[in-house]
Amino acid sequence: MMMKKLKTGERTDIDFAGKNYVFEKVNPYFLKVTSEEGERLVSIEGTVEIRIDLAFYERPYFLKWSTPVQASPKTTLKFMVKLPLQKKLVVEAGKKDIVIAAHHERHKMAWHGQVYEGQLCYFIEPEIYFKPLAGDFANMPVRVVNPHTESRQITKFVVNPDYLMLYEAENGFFTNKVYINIVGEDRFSASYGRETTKSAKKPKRIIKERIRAPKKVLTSFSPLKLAKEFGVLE
Amino acid sequence: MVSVMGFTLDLAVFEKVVKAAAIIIIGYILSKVSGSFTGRVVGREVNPHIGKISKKIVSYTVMAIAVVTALDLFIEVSTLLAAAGIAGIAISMAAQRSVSNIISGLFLLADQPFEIGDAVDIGGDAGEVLDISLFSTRLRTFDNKYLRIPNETVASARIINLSYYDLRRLEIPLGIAYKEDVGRALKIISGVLSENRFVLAEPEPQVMVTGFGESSIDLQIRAWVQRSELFTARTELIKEIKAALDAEGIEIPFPHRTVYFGAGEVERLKEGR
Repeated sequence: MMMKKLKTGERTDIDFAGKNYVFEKVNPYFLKVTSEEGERLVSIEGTVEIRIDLAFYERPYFLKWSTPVQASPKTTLKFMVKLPLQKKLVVEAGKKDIVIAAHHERHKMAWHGQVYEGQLCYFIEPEIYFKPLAGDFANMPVRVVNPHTESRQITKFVVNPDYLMLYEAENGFFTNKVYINIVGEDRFSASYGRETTKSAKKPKRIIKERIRAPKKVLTSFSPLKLAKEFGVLE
Repeated sequence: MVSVMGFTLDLAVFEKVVKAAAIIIIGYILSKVSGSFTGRVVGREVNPHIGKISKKIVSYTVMAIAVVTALDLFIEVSTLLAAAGIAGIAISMAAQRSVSNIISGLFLLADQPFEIGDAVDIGGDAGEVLDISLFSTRLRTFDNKYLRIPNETVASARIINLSYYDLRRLEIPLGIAYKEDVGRALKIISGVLSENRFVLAEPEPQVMVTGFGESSIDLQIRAWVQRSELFTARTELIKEIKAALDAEGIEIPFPHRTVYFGAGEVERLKEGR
């Protein structure tokens, strides 16, 4: 995304998340950053590149639909959901980069797991759509697989950003495909593909997955509406 | 005979002194090494605090064995131990509380209902755990007082660890006037819960009707929040619920009684009869 270069003695200002940041390369070794929060000196040598990066959230995404998604017997539903991304204001010189500020939308939080052990997630109520959209979010291709002979439904699932990749394409940002296999009532297994959807035009991977995803992760939501993760299936 | 620093000693006695000194020195070195090793292993495998205490116990035990072994060169240690046994009974009668505290302390360290840094409530005394020693547990109360509780008391008290889990459930009781539409009130409160930034979306918050109170229809609000935001969440929720109910004209009644007088009583009271 947007990039500006700054040499020693130069100055520039950037609007980020509704705030104004003034960058000044005061000498070859230091960069002064002034914002409404105050002033700070960043130790960074040489010509500095200032840019705004997109990144996945640090915590998992807990996706829940207000009405269940119904899958007919032995079908695969293909759709996309918007996955919000965070923006980071980054300065880089050589191999060193420093995050000056990070911003993401305000979300409610949700707990994934038993109340005595689990993890905090960002709560998202995703819309389902079928053609990619451009914007500061990722189009996540979802494949809901119902291998059963009766129809099943899914109301919620959890996506781990550690297993996601981000692609930049001509028609927006995309993640790798996420497969949700409906195992049973409130039980599903999630697996993460290695490629994105063919709807992405000339995709270029800009973020690698943080951890290589296990083949399948089985998750169960108990009758008390809490999730229990059974771990890797195979 | 041997002359040492102006003193003349019998050779046999001199040999014993040298042996005793060697035993003490070796014992001291062994006590340090064994104590340090035990402390490191226990601290790594169990808990750093238990590791520190284990280090002291092992170190003192090894040193005590070295001292007794050195003494054995000069006197009959068994006689000494027998005398110590009798003295020990007398001392233990006097020091039974201290011994009980030590034993309770060891049980607490093994059971680990809390650790240093936890916020706890021990039999009604609440605070942050500063230290767990062999004799006592020390707390810093939330209003910044220093509290020392003997371990015997701690071990037999009801202990609540307030910082064990990351999630807490807020429970807010509320009453609405009998004249109000309960369904409407529940909807308004649910709306507040779904908008409140502290209330977790999962597990879902609940609003329940719990009964017919003396002055109101009793409701119970249950919402899960992060432990670190418990007090702020409670304050914000109560403010928001009150504001929302006030905006919709729903009354939260204070306790009241309706008193019925018999016929003619009101006039009699007015006349002062």
